[in-house]
Amino acid sequence: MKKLLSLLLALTMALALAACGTPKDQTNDTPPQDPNQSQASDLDYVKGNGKMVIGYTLYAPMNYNDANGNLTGFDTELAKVICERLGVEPVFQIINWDTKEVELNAKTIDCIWNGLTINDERKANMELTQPYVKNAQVVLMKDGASYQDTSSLIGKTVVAEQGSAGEDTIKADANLKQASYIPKSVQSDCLMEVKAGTADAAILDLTLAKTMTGEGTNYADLKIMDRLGEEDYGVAFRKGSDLCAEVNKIFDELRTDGTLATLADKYGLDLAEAAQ
Amino acid sequence: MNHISVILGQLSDSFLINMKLFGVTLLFSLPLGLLISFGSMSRFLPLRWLVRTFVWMIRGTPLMLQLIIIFYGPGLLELAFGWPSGDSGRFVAAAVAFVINYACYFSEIFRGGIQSLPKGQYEAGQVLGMTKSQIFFKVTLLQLVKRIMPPVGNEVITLVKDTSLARIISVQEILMLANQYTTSGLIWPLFSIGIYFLVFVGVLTLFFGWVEQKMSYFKA
Repeated sequence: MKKLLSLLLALTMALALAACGTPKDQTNDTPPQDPNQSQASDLDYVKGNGKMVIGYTLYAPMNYNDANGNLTGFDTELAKVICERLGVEPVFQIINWDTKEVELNAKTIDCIWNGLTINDERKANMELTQPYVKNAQVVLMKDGASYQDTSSLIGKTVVAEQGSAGEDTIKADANLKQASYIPKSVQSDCLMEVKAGTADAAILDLTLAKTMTGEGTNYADLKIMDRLGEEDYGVAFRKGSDLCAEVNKIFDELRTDGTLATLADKYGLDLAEAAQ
Repeated sequence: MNHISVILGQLSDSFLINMKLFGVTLLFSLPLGLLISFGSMSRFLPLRWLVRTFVWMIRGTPLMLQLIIIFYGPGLLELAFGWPSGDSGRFVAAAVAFVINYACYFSEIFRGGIQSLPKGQYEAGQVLGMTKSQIFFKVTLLQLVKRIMPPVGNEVITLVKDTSLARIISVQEILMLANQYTTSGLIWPLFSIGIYFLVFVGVLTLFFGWVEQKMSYFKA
């Protein structure tokens, strides 16, 4: 009995170790082919699956649940339209924003479509579509807090979403750099921090701040104090993916036939110019 | 208000995911833990060394990291094996990580329990001509169950709360869902979910108290 058990256990352990060994061999064998392979096949890969897995976080007005608990929002509707033209089924997969690149590369999602700000770092790491919506980073504080410019926040506590454009803004601003910065895993957590008084200010997307603060919202006592730099939203695909160009083509069609403008009006967003 | 009951319903639904993860983990990690504990006591030296290294690796790294490696690893390393897409794949990956992790902790509890039994019992069993497995199942096991009950109960209660770690790979358990309500500006769900955990752990505490009482007749 015991001998049998130890044999079984030894086998399991050996297998576990073997499994650890194989990935190294694989990557050693095929380094030059791998990138080309994924380049050539991403569109086919998604079409072959018959579905595109869209990574998102709940984030009004881009992707959020309506009163009945159904997922809606600008990006949700737009993604549905584009998937329909691609001939694939959209599958919305909720993700953590700070592991979005890992999800993309691990193929657990096929694209990040969630008000993603276009910047150089992301352009280098992922395949980004043309800009489709305009955004800005804003300083959000409690109504009545004293604020002149970012120098008012030196030594104060500032929150932003980890890995977000807001975080980049803080790191790039000479004054905000001197604030004590606390990263959060979701943008909306930042609002709660400011409301609870555990942070003095949040650096967030304009689109989100506009929808979630002001009269009639749960954050009526928060106010947009400042705009720090304009930016554009894009959709991110795996580096070298040919799916991106295909989606860009559909973006052009939607611009021409006015679908994009209608959708932007519905959610109170400004469209970005197509020129990249 | 109707709205509140809808949210409570969704919170309860997502707590079912925590409970499912809890149940699956216990179901598989307890027997696997026993197996690992035999391995870590084996007289076959390479096996013992291998198993103890494995236990060291699992107990020595954060469960959160293990979740990330187990879920994203196959895709990132382009292995032929991949988790099924969608929420079910994420759940299975989380369950695998939890089972391995908790089996290692349980194995040490089992080892402690087995080694704490007086050696005289084995010797008496051998003198009576019992085989090793007979000694284990007829002499050791029931005493073992009684002795390890308190530390196992401790570990089980920790497991209840650890299930929330699965949110790191976006398994939509209760903490992740409650946190999402803050997106729409609702803060109370996040602060109310503690009740779910308290009730569940309360029930488990009562259960373990009852089991311990039932076993008190083993007292010498």
